[in-house]
Order: sequence, then C-alpha cells, then structure tokens
Amino acid sequence: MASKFKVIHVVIIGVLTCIIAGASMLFLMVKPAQARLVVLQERYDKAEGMWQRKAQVERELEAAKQKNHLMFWKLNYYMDNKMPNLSFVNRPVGMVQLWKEQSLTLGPLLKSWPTKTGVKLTSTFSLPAPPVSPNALETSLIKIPVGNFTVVGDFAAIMAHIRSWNKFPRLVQVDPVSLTGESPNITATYAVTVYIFPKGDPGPTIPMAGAASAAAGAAGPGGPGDPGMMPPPGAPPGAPPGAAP
Amino acid sequence: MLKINLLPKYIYERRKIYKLASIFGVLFIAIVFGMFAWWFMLGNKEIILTGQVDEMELKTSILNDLQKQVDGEKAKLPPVESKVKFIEDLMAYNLKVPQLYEELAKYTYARILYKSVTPAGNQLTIQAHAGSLADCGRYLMNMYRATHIFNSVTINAVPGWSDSAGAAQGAGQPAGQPAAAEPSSGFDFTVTCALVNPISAPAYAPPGAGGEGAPGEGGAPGASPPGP
Repeated sequence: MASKFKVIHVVIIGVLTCIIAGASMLFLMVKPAQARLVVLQERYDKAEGMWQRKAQVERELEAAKQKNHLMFWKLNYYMDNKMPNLSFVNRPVGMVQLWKEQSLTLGPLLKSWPTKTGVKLTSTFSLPAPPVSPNALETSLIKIPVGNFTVVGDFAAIMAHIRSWNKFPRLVQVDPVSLTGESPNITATYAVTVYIFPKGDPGPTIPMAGAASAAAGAAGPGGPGDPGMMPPPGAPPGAPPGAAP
Repeated sequence: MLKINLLPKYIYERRKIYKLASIFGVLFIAIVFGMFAWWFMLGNKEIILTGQVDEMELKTSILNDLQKQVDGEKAKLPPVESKVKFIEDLMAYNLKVPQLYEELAKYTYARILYKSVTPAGNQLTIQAHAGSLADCGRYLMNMYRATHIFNSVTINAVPGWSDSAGAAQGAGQPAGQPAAAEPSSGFDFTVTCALVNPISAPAYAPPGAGGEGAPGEGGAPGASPPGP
C-alpha cells in the first residue's frame, strides 16, 4: 500500500519542525537569559566604576576632616581669647550675661587699654545700654559701637597702640585713624566698635517676655501698654509692683 | 544476465521516507538539546554574575556612606569658616592703617611737617607744611615713587609771588586758598593721595544669609547710656 507521504512532505515537515523548535527555544529561553546577563553586566560595570573612586573619596574625607579640625580649633581659640562667656541658649540668662558684659566689664577694659599700650587717652566714651528683652537679642553677631577714641603720644607709640587692639581681650574694629599735631604729641582719633559672637545656638523665645519689639526706652515694667506685663492686683495702673501709689 | 526489478516503487519510497524522518528526528533532538545546553550555560553565567554584582554593590554602598560622611563634614564648615574669616579679616583690617602710615613715613621728606593725616575710603588727605618750595618739590618727587601705596598724589597749590612787601595776596595767589605764609617761613599745602588698596571694613556674612551681614546693635533704641 502506498503511503500518503511523499519524500518532499517529510522534508518540508522536518525542516519546519526544526525551525519552529529552534526559533521558539531561542526567543523564549535563550534571548531573555542573554538580556538579563546584559543588565547584570551593566550594573556590575557601574558599581565597579564607582568603586574606583574609593581612594579619591577617602582622600576627600581626610581633607575635609583636617580642614574642619583646623577651623574648629581656630574658632575655639578666638572664642576663648576674644569673646566673653556669653550664650543665649537660655535667653534670659544670656541677656543678663550681656548686661554684665556691656554695662560693667567692657567699659573699664576699654578705658584702661590705651594707658597699658603706651598712649594717653584724652577723650571720654560711653557704651549704649544693652537690650532688656530676651526676645530682642541679636543672636548671631552683637555689634557695640563705642564711639571715638582720642589718644596722644608719639608716632611710634600711636602705631604700636593701634596694632595692640588685636591683642585686646575682645574683638574690636578700629576704624581708620586720623592724626593731627606734631610728634611727640600727636593726637590720634579713631572709632572703636566691639563685636561679640555668642556661644552656641540661641534657645527658644520667651512668651512671657512679650514681642521682640518690647525694648528699653519704652515704658518700664508695669507701664501702660507694655505687652505681657500686667500690674499686680490692687496696684494703680502704671506703677511698678510694690511701689506706693 | 539481465536484472529486472519487479518490486513496486512505493516500497523504496517508504524506506526513503523512514530514513528522512529519522534524520530529521535526530536533527530535531540535536537542536533541542543544543538550545537547552546554551540556555543552561547562560543560566550558570547569570548566577556567577549575580554574585559578583551583589558583592560590588555592597562595596558601593560602603562608598556611598563614605561620600555621605564627606558631605556631612563639608556641611559643618561654612558657619565656622565664616566666623573665623570675619575675625581674621577684621584683625587684618585693624593693621592696615598703621602699615600705611609707616610706609608713608618712609617716603616723607624729613623737612616736611605734617599737621594732619586723614584717611577716608580710598583717599588719604594730608595737611603739610614745607619750609621752602625746594622742600615741597623734593617731597612731591619722593611721594611719586610710592607707586605701591598710591595711584595718584596731588597737591593743591604752592604760593605765587607778589610785589607787596609782607603780604602774599593778589595776583598769583591760588584762587580759593587762604593767604599762604611768606616763602621765607614756609607755606602750608594739602596733599591728596589715592590709595592702591582702599581701606574698607569687612562685613560678616553668615552662611545662608543673603548679601551683607547686618549685626545687631548692642544698644537698645531710645535708651540713654549709663552715666560714667
């Protein structure tokens, strides 16, 4: 009995079957595996590229630490030698520290400095009153304008005196010096400003102290219109607590 | 002897078909086996590479931590650096005028007398007295050599000549100038010098603040200063 399949049929079926099997396995199994390998290789190359920077990053870290160490050392040196012990972490306490500094300590220090450095102070000066509200404090850099100093001495003594302000136990700005007269009695005039950096970060404001705009020069404690300040019961309005009406 | 094949053709056809089918069967098995082997090999490679990638990415996470430390260290610097810079700039500023005056003294002719020296911004104004025109000229020529201190040096005037005895007035007197002393006793003059390096005070700029720092005044507004 003759078969229905001829040779050509078998060849066609065989070739098609091999092609379909090969192609389907290629695209369903081999190609996805290759794509995953490509992705993995890219991740590896990227990670390796980053890892090559390790030495550089370590050098940067070392350099940053050294620079920080130097800057912090310098700042600590200046804070210990040029700044009073003043901190606004606790604002009321810091405010009182500032009162003592500005109203008691700084004036005598400034007044004695010219004599210590070989010239004679011939002018007077005064320091402004410190703020009286803990919410009105300048917490980054306090600037205290002292006014004009007039000193008398010879040229060398005056120049040495001006230079000596850098050794004063506070940070001082000495504005350009005007000279008049003849040596050995040259008169030098210059403006002095004291700068203070408070230590640490400032603490929270004090609600009981009222708004920051409440400052000295307004009415005193218990005065009319003073925000947050109520006179004690029974006292007439405007009188300080405990004062006789 | 004559050979005659009396077998029908379909018998040989069947054998050919069987042979071809077996050949294609073997080919099919080889293709399937080959693809499986390839896929298996790729799978092994994927496992190895996955391990290497995990190891390398662990290392880069260490590196990222290091980089965060670097960024953290660098972030600590600006507030400290700005304070230190301000303090050091201010102390350098305090020394500028003594340095300027000492340099000025080196270029000042010994026979010139200074009555006042006043700095203002990028200018220095000197009120001086010269005993003679020659002294004034020598002084001026000395000052012209101080090119590292001054961009320009100018004097207001020197006295003219008048034929009225004992009075230095009238024609020749510089306009707008007070009567100069007689040349025999010297004369006053004003020197104006433009500074090469203007003297300007540093400003504190805390990091993050825009523009110039404005330190707060230590005095309360409207308060009267305490008595001496």
